[in-house]
Amino acid sequence: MIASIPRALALVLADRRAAFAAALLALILFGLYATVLPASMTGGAVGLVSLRYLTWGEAALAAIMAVLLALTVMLGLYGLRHGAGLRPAGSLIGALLATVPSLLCCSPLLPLAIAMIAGIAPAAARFGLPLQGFIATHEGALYAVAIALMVWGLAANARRALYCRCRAPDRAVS
Amino acid sequence: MRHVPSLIRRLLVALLLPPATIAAAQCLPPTGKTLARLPAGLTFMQAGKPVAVKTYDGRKLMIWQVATWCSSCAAGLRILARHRAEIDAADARVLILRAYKNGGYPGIGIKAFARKAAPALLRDPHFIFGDDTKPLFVRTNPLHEVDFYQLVAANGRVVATDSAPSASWSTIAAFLK
Repeated sequence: MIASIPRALALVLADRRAAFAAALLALILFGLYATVLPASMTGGAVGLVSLRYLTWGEAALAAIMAVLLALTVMLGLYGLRHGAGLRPAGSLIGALLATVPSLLCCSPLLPLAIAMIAGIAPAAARFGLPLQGFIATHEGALYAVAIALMVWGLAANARRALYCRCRAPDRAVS
Repeated sequence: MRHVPSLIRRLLVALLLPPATIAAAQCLPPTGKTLARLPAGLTFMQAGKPVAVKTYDGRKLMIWQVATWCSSCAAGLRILARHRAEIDAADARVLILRAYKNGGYPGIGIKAFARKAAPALLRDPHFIFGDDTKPLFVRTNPLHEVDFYQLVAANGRVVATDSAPSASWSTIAAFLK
């Protein structure tokens, strides 16, 4: 499944406009992740304030995630133009999971949500803080799962792109 | 092209959900209910003994509840260490308390946490390290947040509450002036 990625990318990015769009999208996504990932240091505050805390490790993570998502989108669009369906679940879950440690670990978001839920179901109140602690102490694992999901989404889209090319060569774009 | 409506729907979700989550996080009030004054009779634990919060009456006081697993708390401690001279000059006291039950998740003690993040503060008498008691945590921190602080003026009024000194040093700096 993973082996299909380079072949599909070579096919899709052969078009110069597609390559440019992928680079631009990757750049935008990098900016987004580079400001969101260090938010675990700012209690969930995102923007220039979080960018000050960006480490080399987080910058590398942001670059990996941005490239994976940008390529997934390009392969997805290619597949769609050639009649293949789209299943973005893996990439979407991965993209959202990647923002969880930064936005939820030490911010008031989770305590506030739990307080609101606890108004309806008081038993829920006791799960709020342990969840934050778990997220904070398993940050690395959560990022690894997020990246794995993104790779899975990319591989699925690559397979679909190649499949539709085999099935309908007359409709494939050079 | 029969997939287009479904694609548009999914793309909209993919594109709008992360910014919406971020926007929601930014728009949150910094605290729960703001207290005009600290409730009377509150204590915290230091070296296994209860210490009354009113010990610091008459001085500017920052009460900061942290969890030792919280990365923004460590970043906040480093920010306080960087601005230590301003805190010392204002003769303020910074009460740094390990939140009750460490915010619900196990972790190292408060002194070990300080030694790791900003050891110089352990030798500064303006910084007091201790452990939250349940009444202090419950009565002053209604949402049970970690990395939550209150700024108490010399007259005993709570003038500001916020979270994450790493992102809100300007609030603390204004309080110290």
